[in-house]
Amino acid sequence: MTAQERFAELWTDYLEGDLDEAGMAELQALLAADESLRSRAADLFQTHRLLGFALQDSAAARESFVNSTLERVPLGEDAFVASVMERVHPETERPRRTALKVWPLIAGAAAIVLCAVAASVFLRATPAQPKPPEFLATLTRATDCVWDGPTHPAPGDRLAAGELRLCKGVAEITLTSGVNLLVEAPANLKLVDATNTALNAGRIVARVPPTAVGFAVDTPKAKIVDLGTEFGVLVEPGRETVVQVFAGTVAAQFKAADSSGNKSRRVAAGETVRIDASGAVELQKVYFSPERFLRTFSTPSVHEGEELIPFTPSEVFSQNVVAAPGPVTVDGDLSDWDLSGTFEARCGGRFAEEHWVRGSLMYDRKHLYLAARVGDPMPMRNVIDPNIDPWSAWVGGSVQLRFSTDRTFGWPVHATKPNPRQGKPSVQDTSGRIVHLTLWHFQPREQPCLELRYGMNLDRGVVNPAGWRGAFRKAPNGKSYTVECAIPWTLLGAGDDPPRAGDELGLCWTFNWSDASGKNWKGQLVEIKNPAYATRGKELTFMHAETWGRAIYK
Amino acid sequence: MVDPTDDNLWPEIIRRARQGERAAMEAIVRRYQEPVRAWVAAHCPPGGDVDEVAQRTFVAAFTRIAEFQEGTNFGAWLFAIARFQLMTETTHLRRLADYRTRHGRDLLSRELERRAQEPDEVTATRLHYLRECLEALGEAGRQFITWRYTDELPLEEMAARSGRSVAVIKKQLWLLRQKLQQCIEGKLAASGGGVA
Repeated sequence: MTAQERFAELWTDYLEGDLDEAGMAELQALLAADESLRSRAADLFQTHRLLGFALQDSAAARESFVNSTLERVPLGEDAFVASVMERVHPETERPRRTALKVWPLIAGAAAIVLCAVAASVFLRATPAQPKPPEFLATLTRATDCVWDGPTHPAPGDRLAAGELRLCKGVAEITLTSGVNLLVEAPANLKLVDATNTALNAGRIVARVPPTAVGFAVDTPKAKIVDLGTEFGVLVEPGRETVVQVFAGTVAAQFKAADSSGNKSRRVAAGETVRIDASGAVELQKVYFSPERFLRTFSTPSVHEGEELIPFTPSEVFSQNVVAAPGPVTVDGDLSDWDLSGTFEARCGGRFAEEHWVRGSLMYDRKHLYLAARVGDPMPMRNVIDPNIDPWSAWVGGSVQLRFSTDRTFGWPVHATKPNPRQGKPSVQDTSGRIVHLTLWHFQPREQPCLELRYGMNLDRGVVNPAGWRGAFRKAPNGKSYTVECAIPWTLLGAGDDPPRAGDELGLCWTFNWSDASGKNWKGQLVEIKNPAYATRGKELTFMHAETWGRAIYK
Repeated sequence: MVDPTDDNLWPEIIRRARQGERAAMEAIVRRYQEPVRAWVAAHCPPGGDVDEVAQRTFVAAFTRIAEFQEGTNFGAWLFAIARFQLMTETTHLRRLADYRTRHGRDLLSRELERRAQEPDEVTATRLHYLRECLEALGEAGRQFITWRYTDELPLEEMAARSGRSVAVIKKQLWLLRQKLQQCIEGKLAASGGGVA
């Protein structure tokens, strides 16, 4: 190995923090012996540092630097005069209590007058300038945003205090305090300062870093004060205000006392507080409610009309679920499958070539078997950790199946996401035999992951439960993947009475693609739908089981 | 409103900053934060806190702004302060008991210190060319650079994501850094600027 080659190894280890003491000594010896190598190392070090600088540069980083710097600058004279006036002014209104304090007050008052005169001369000497707006935030990302009112910001624009009316789309706002707000239209939001926001209507999700604990969202019914957390707030004027905590704790301070006379309440992760139009407060424990708040910013790259691309209207309305021909080895190799029940579909337009799916289902007395081959130019990149955020995992690339395992429900399945305003949910609505399944490949651990949720209220579920088996396999050309899994009927609410030949039950597949990051949703394809809903929006399938197509057990 | 990009306003902005006006100071930080931070990043010795040195530069500048002579080059004055702050940081690091254990003998620091005396425009030019060279990098290369410098992924995760070994990732990073270095040097040579 030449000195240059050895230098390449040592230098890379050095920059990556992998160089031990012996390696450091060897590197230093190389640099000491060769001046040109020393110069080369300095070149590479400077480029390494500039890469870090250039690639971490963002509006938020610049804003943070500017604000942190200004906080360290000693007060200027105008600020000094103002602060003196502010501190001393109340004192001058206070009655004098003892003679002993008269002289200091007189001296202080004289100093104030002198300062004030000096300040007034000083300030008059400066040409009158309109007061520059104080920027509180930056619009860091926006998808399909349509704004109303005085402010129509674009990504990268800085935002001053004031009202923002978002009519359409999703906007991400980063406050100078580090708080990140995801705003979902329609919303009426007012930026008050870097730690206070007022939400008059709409939905926001706030992620608050430890440095910004105390951040508050004021609503007509309550003020939500962060205690270090992530939470969502929904305000529907004249109807309800909902606070849902995803992590940490918040303090909800009610404008009117609740039925127990309490004017505030701590709300912890997994809890929701609902305040209705009359001011009545209801605390609910919820496992999660993914459809209530958009927690992950998705930036689908292309839209066509109202639909996301890749997306195509469903064309397949039923699927045969065939009996497994024998023992199934779950390894991503489908050579032991009966693939006669496979359906195929493609996304539309220019996405057709690379975004396609083939879905297959089999069953036996103990298991449901699922296999899918998915054309995906960026396969198996999902980086969403099943132990941290399983309910968001679908956005990083996934296969989802929604289905019923109860033959008494028949087809179509009349089950809907329960709505408290529309009365008591039906048996179907909350049934444990209505299952929503999400499969993804957690790339950092190369781990097949499964999340199961039950009922249309999606409030119960398990992640990677014991007894299931799954495998992902990437195609040699890196343009598609195969997922195969076996799930015991016991996990699907049907351990005692699994589906059998002749059953026709509800079923719907959703395939989600992500971008290269493995965490941003790029688009989806929904197949096996009720023909009556084939061309209608994607959002219906998790809310209305009636939209699902037909699973025919053979 | 103070506009830090309007050159005609600049003497007025500096005059108002001298009078202690915060908005004018903010305009100065906004205008100079990138060149100052980039310059410090390129010259700060290993283990140094780049943004801390850059912030101290501005704070020192505003504390001593009465010493600035109107009509002279404010940028040059600011970079003179940055050099002084960097020298203070370098001295501080050398005095740390375990600095050599962590970063070796200060051969590299000495070379960076020497370069800190060169015109500050050299760094701005290198940064400009680096951005151009990044644009020209292929998608695969760009992905690795993004993982390493934007996402700051560990080597193991980069290896898992790309289906390669850690050793291959290290080699890939070496090649990409070499490629960018050569690209920058080529552009500097073509423009008649030298490499330090």
